[in-house]
Amino acid sequence: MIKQILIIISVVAFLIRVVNYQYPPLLWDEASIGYNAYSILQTGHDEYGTFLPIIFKSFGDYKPGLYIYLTIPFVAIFGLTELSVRLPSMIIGSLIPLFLYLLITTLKPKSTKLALTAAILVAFNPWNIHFSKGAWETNILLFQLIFGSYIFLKNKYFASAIVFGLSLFTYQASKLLVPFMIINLIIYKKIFPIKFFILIGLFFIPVVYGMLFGADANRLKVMNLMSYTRPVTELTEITNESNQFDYNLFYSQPIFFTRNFLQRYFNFFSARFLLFEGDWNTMRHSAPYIGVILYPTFFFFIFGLILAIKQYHLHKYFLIWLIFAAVPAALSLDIIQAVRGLNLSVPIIYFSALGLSAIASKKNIILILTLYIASFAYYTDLYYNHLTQIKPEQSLVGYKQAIQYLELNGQNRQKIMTNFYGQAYIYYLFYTKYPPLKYQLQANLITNGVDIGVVEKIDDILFKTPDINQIKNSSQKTIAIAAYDEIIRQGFQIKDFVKISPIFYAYQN
Amino acid sequence: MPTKISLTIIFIIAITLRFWNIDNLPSLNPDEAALGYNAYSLIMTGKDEHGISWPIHFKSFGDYKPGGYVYMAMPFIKIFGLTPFAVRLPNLIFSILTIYVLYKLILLITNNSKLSTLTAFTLAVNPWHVHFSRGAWESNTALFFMVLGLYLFYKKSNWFTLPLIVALYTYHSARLIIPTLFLILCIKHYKQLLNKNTFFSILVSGAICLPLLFSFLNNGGTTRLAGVGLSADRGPLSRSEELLNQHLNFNYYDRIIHNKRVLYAISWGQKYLSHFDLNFLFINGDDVPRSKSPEMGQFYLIELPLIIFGIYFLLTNSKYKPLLFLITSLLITSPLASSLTFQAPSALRALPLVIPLTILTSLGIYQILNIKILKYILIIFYIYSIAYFISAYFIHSPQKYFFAWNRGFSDIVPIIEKEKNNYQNIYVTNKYDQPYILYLFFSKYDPTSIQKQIKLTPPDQFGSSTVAKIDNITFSIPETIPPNSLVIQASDFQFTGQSFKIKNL
Repeated sequence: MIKQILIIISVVAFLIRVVNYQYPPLLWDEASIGYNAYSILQTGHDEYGTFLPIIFKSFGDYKPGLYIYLTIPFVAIFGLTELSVRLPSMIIGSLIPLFLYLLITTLKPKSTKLALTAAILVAFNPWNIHFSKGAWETNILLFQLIFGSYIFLKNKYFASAIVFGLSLFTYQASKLLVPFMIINLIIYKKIFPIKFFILIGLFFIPVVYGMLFGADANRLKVMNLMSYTRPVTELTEITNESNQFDYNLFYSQPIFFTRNFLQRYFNFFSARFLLFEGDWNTMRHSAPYIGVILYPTFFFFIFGLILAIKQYHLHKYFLIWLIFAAVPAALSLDIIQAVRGLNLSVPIIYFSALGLSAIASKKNIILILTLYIASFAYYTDLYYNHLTQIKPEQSLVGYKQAIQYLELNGQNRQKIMTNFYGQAYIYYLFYTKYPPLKYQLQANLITNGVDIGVVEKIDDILFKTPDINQIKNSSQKTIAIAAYDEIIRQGFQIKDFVKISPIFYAYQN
Repeated sequence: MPTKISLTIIFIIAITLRFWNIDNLPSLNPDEAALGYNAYSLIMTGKDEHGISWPIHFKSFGDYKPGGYVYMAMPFIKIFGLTPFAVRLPNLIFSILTIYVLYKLILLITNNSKLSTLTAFTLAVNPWHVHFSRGAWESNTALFFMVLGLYLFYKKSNWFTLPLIVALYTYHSARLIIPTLFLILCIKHYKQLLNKNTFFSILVSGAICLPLLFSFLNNGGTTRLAGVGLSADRGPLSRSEELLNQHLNFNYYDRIIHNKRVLYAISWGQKYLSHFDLNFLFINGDDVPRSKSPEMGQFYLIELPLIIFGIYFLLTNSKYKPLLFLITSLLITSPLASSLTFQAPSALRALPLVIPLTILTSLGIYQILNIKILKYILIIFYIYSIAYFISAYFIHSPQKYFFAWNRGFSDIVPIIEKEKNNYQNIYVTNKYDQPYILYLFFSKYDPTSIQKQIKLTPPDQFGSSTVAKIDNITFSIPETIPPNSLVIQASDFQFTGQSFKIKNL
């Protein structure tokens, strides 16, 4: 019976994640993941011609490679499409409910009801759905944390060490999360398996090496709040108001850092983030005007926490997880960061399930279900009908159509594609399925000290802001895609352009 | 340490934090000045500044202030004259008494003198409570009467309603919080109420409240609600339109889910829960400069773990059961009024929240105090935190938030008075909210004379008005200044070290 329920949950979870898979439009990183997988598949080298890299240079942000390798079989089957890039995350995301169930029942035998509730909640949780629908590495990491813990508790230390070790090549936040997670497991199990530590230690060697002698590739970028200091104007203001002693005692760097860190950390537990606005710093990380968990979940979460506090030793594992989950995310500069904080969704779901399974009874189950269905329907509308419309420039609406337009209408013309929204070249490579061998020869990423570079040219296609005036008066046949803002800034009327999307417009002379 | 000595020390600390330099810090704000000047006007003429005899709500800036505080301030102004100290004295006294009554209340419920003393301590040094004790904040005065009402209620006195009525006459928000809170308490303890005397006292109290109700309805209490209420926030309305327009052809279903009522309900939920935001409580505090000290929360950061311990012990220890119900009811009801206004979280309107949270803090302290090391660490942390607060409140606030604190206005009034007859026109900046009342207050302007000429400007978007002109003093600076004028401009204190620039033309 339970098996069937779990299968149904997984299938439903997969359907929720796979339906309408082209929405929202591909982001830069997704296009890059897809093209690099395609390049590896065809040539064994990435876009820069490096042979089977572990870390991919990509835009100069040096992506950990695991997700790209996961994508290769899907590119082999379905070709270079949105679906093949996103399928790994969709499939793994729909396995999370199942393995969360297994983890909870392993931690607490005889807690079938709680574990099933948690599986259902996580299958329908907006935060998890959002990052399962796209090629988000953080979603794979979350799965690895659950899966690795589960097999560790099943005494399969060798496999567990490999899962945790591989997660270091999945997503940056793992460098802090995995040690936390292992400590948590040891506290829970009170054992110290030597071979597990030897193996995981081997995986950590390159990470530690990178931290100490680091090229860009391995630097512990998760800690960039550490180097954030108070602006000089603010500093002089404070010392002018009082004196240096007062500044040292109450406003100096360690206190400034602590306040900043806690402010970010507390934001993850605010109703504003969880219920009402989601990631308000980067709109594309959550549906607009709504949080990352469903409304009823919040109340069950509070109730579950109260229950858990009463008997904290029974829920120690998830209580500790709840406390450290947001730490790596709070160490980034962003005031709130739903991507890096994704693993917080699991302890939240656990305590919500605890509250819900304690409250739910035959009498009120209809009411609870109604509230959940209404809340989920409301979320679905905001996600599908409003996410890309409220801030189209955040969701990069129209890159695909722009490239297709360029290819269709650009025969025998000079082609110019705007780089206003960044990394236009990767969309060109992706949507034209540009031969990787040919690109590897001309790949030229221009970096100016900052870590994200630009590609200005592929063959005769230029990726830059089109100078409309020059095109207008030029004798050379040209086709250009410009961003809305660029057209306005150059003083042209939008009606003279062909609209491709709310942010991209085409022009030809 | 014996309880008496501890309490004495606590009250010395409380009085020092609240009374130190109270005449200047903070500078008098227009609301306080209005309370004081109207009391002064009543003493001198029996009418308020608008010429209305013994009102229940004072028209003031068109915001119809509840009158309780004005009447409480009258004896002090009669004795000490029209000074900031005299206006603030009632609230200062009540704030000290709040600590004492809370001590008695906890003692009554738990019969634990150590815990009660700790509660007195945490309230005495609480930055939120100290802030609103220093000044004529009706919110804090109403809080005293609420706590007194709670004490009498738990004492099973039949007349617990009397202090509550005073609170209702004193502060708007109390009118929502107190009835809700006591309704919950009365339902829980209904047996205690089932006797003739209580019934009689409630009846009498209801009768005493009737004039308040009529005055509220007659004096535009409803317009006040419209000015600061939930509907004053246009955000949900425009959001509803925005979302509907994003559907190409919206159907009946879309109309329902993007209905403005749905969006207002969600907005209310967000405002209500924002009072429990940890950043509001422990890191940043209120957004309004007049309600906060820079770079600190409403509570000390060190109190967050203590509150969590407090919750744990409250939930697990059965001897705190009566306390559990009181704390929960207070937590739920305190943000009610504030969540219905356009600006939330509001430290001022949700001030009663300070009571349950200080009780929780003291519970946390009480339980970990047995561990010697933690005791000393705690003492060090508290000393540091109080010093932090003193630095933020007494040193940085007056300089950083000089506009919000109306810094320096008292200094220019003598100049105006001296030069008033030497110039044809005097222009004073309107950078401060209602400068006219500060002028009336500090110049001790003759009430009969203002009653004749007072004329309020049309209300702004928040429903508050001001007075543009008194005699030859205009409270705004025109673009072209006629000859023979004295102009008093606002100046950026942080750059110039002065609040005003004085120019004569």
